[in-house]
Formats: sequence, structure tokens, C-alpha cells
Amino acid sequence: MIIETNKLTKYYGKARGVIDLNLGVEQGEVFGFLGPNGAGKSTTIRVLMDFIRPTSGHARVLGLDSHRDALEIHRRVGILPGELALYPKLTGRQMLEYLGELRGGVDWGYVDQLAERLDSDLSRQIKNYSSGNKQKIGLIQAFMHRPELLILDEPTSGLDPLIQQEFYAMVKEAKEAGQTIFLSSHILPEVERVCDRVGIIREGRLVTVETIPAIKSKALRHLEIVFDGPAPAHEFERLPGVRDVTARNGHLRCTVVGTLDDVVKVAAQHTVVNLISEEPNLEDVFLTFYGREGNHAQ
Amino acid sequence: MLSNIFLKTLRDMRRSLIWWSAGLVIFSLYFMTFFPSIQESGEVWQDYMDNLPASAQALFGGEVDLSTIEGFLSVEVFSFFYPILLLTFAISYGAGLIGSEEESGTLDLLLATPTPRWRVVIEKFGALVVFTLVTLAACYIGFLLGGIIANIDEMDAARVLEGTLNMAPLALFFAALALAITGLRSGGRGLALGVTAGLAAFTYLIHAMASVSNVPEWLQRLSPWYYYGGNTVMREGVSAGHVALLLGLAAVLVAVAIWGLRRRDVSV
Repeated sequence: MIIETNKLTKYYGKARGVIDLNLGVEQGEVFGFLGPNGAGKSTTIRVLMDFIRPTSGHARVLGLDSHRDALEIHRRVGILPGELALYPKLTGRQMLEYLGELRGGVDWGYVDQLAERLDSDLSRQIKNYSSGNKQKIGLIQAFMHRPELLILDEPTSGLDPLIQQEFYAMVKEAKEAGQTIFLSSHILPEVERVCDRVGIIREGRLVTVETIPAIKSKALRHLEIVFDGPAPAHEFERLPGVRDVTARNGHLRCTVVGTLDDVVKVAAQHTVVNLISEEPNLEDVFLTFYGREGNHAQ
Repeated sequence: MLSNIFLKTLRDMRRSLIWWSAGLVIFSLYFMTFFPSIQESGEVWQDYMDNLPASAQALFGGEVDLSTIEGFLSVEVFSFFYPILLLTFAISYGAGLIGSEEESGTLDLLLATPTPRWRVVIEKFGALVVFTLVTLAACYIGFLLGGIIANIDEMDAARVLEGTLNMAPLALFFAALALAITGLRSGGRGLALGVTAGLAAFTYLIHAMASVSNVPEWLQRLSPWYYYGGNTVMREGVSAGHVALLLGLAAVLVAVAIWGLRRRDVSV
């Protein structure tokens, strides 16, 4: 196990961080840590890095104790903190130089390569950076020493779509190179896209750990089909996995669990003007995994 | 300047260090040129001083002879004015060494590197020690240049150096106190500033009033200013024991900062 937590619990005074978290991340996988903001993702990550100490339970990273062996862990891990803060008066390059020196030097050829891929201008002062440009520096410093484990807290926040694609490619390459990636996110499609397995956390508790295909097969999708004529609602109501069918004029709305295959095949027998499939949001995923209990999140 | 925390911290201070030092050279030089005129009108000044209420005299370091350069430096420089000047930056930097990085959130990235927390504290405090010594050197250069320009022949350069350096343990003591508070408490920068500045002022008053009112000896000994002895240093030289005590306490406070930071959570 690359990351292992055992009944990890963290309270900030009386405020809940995480409760009884049992997490296992295996060598070489891309593990997604999915949950809404405030669910306890950053708390978990900060315990793994020994920035904060658990109230009870413990965590192991790379087989080492998160507190006792913190330095060895830090040597071998690259981290992108959730609330990334950099030194405003340094340039991007100076920031990386400082962090690189504190790691005993890094391969600057590789740093430049990373900067080029992410289209990061290292020559300007950080105080003049947009949040996306800061995030790029955060990513470069996490990757630059080719760590065995990458812990990335909301890595794509602030990145524009093109750079996000490049980041996904970097994750894929890191995995191919044998690195393990632990990535937190509140965006399901992102996790679906890059991860092998997903741990879902909600209100401080780990709800489930699933493979991506399993998540997809359970995911709820809201679908809207616009027909060139009255919507044949009754044909859809009969389909397995289809719920909440409503039809008005040519518009048909429904909720689909799992794949859209059946729905699309039935629809194809009519003239379809438009088909809108919303990305399933987190609340929908929770609904799937806890049924009505999902309303708690409000 | 970015190869370790010590140098990076000095680098962050460099602009302020340059301006402070330049300002202190000029200011100290200018200050010294007042001495001849004070010496000439010596009796007037001495009368003025002697006629001040005892408590006001105490604030200036007690009874001193303003007609000698030693007396002048004791009263006008070392007893009150310069230490306060130096304490303002020593305390604010002391509170900011850990406090600012934690407040802005950069402490996370710093601690994510394989750097032990004790090392962050030691290297940062080391930078503040250098800062303090450089500013004191600037003061000294100003005193010497001022002495030359104003033709103050009887000035004992070695003794002035002693008096100047004698301010370092006091400044470092209060800086370490502010650092210790930020080590113990996350988000403690404001608290550290307030408490330390308040204590510096309060303990000064205890010390200054000791000669005119009945401040018990044990209370006097609780004041760091008692061990600083700015008003006697020009006459008697530095007390090695007192210097060692203040530096020792500063070291203990740095250790407290390390102890506190090692055992507590780092706030976001």
C-alpha cells in the first residue's frame, strides 16, 4: 500500500475534519478522492503530509509513519496543496529554484519541459500571476523531483481547458512511469477521466471506494431529448434504469442509471432534434450510493 | 540567495535592511554632531536635566553628566531611544518569521520539502540575528563618523562598540519572545506583536522607575532591561553575565518556538 489510513479521525476543536477514515491506495494507481468542498479531502491530505496531526487513528505513506517518518515521506512525495500559496515577490523560476534547492537540487531540463507543457511563464513575479498561472507553478513543483507519489489537491482548479488536457496527459504519463497519484476533486467527470479507482468522501466519512466502471454503471444522468413531434414518453417509462420521465410537447426529460444505450436506441426510432445529457453531478452520485439520504448534503 | 531558508529570509529582508542601515548611519552621525553644542551649553542642559522630576530623569537613565560623551551616549542613545528603535523591528520581524509564512499559507510548501520544523525556526532566527548585527554595525559606523566630523576627541571607540553591541542581546531576547509565541500558537502573529511590544514597554517602565520609587529588587530583576543596563554600559562596560543571561533566555525562547511548532498543527 502506498497510502493507508487506519480509523483516521481529525477534529479541529469541535469541528469535524474526517471521521474513521480507512483508505488504501495501491502502488501505481491513480486514485481519485471525490467529495464536495468541506467534505474532509484537504484535511486527509494535510494529515498525510504531517502538516496536521490526527485526533486518533493513523496514516502510513509509502509504508512509513506519516508523523515519525515525515521527512522521508516529504523527500519522496510531491504535493500540490489545496490552498496554494506562493511567495509573491519571487518569479516563478525563483520559487521553483528555492523549493528545488530545499530538495537538494532538481533536474532543470525537466522543470523547463514541464513549464513548456503547461505554458507557464516562469520569468514574471508571482504577484502578477493569474490564479491559473499560480496553479501551474504548484503543479510543476509537485512533479519536478519525479516523486514516487503525487498528492494533488484539486489540481485543475483555475486551469483553462487546454492546460487541463495537458495535465491529464501528465497524469497518464506519470502512471506509465510507475508513479502513484492521489488526486482530490469535487468534479466527477474529471475523476472518471483520469482515475482507476475513486474514494467518495462526504461529511468527513468515506462512503465507498469503487472502480470507475462501477461508478459509471451507477451514475445518474439527467437526459433531455427533443423530438420532432410529441414525445413518446410511454416507450421510455418501460425501460430498465429509466426514472422520472416527464414529457411536454416535444421535450422529454428523464433520469437514467448506468448507460444510455437503451434510451438512445428507443429514441432513434423517432426523429430526434436534440439530445442533451448533463454530466452527473456529485449530489446525483450520492443519491445513487445512499438513496434518499443524499438530501443531507443540503 | 535562494539556496536555503536562512539566505531566503535574509533576501526577503534585504530592502528593509539596506534602508534601515543607511538610515541608521546617517541618523547616528547626525545625532553625534549635537554633542559639541550640548557640551558647550553644558550647564544649561545639566540644570535642565537636574530640574526634571526624578521620575522623568529616570526615563532618561537617571543622573548623568551630559558634558561628557559617555554621559551623552548613555542618556541620549543607549538608555532608551536606540533600544526602542531597534526593538520595533526586532519584535515585528520576530513575530513574522513563522507568523507571516503561516498567515500567508506558504509554510505548507516549505514544510512539504524534506526540511524539519526545527530547522525552519533556527535558520529564520539566524537571519534575524544577522539583520540585527548589521543594523548595529550601521549605528556604530554612524557614531564613529559623527565623532570624527564633530571632533569629539575623547570618545572611546571600543567602549562605544561595546555599548552598541550591548543592545543585541536585548533585541534578540524580545525577538525570540515574539517568535516563541508564534511557535506555540497558530495564527499568533498579531498576538505575538501585541504581547511582546507590551511587555517590552511595561518592563522598561519597571526598570526606569526602580531608581525613584520603591520597586522591590525581585521585580526589578524580572525586567530584561535590568540586565541590559544601557545607562551604565558607557561607564562600566558590558556585563558578561547579563549578556549571557539574555542570550541564554533568547535561546530558550527559540527552543520553545521549536517545541511548539513541532507539536502543533500548521494552519491553512
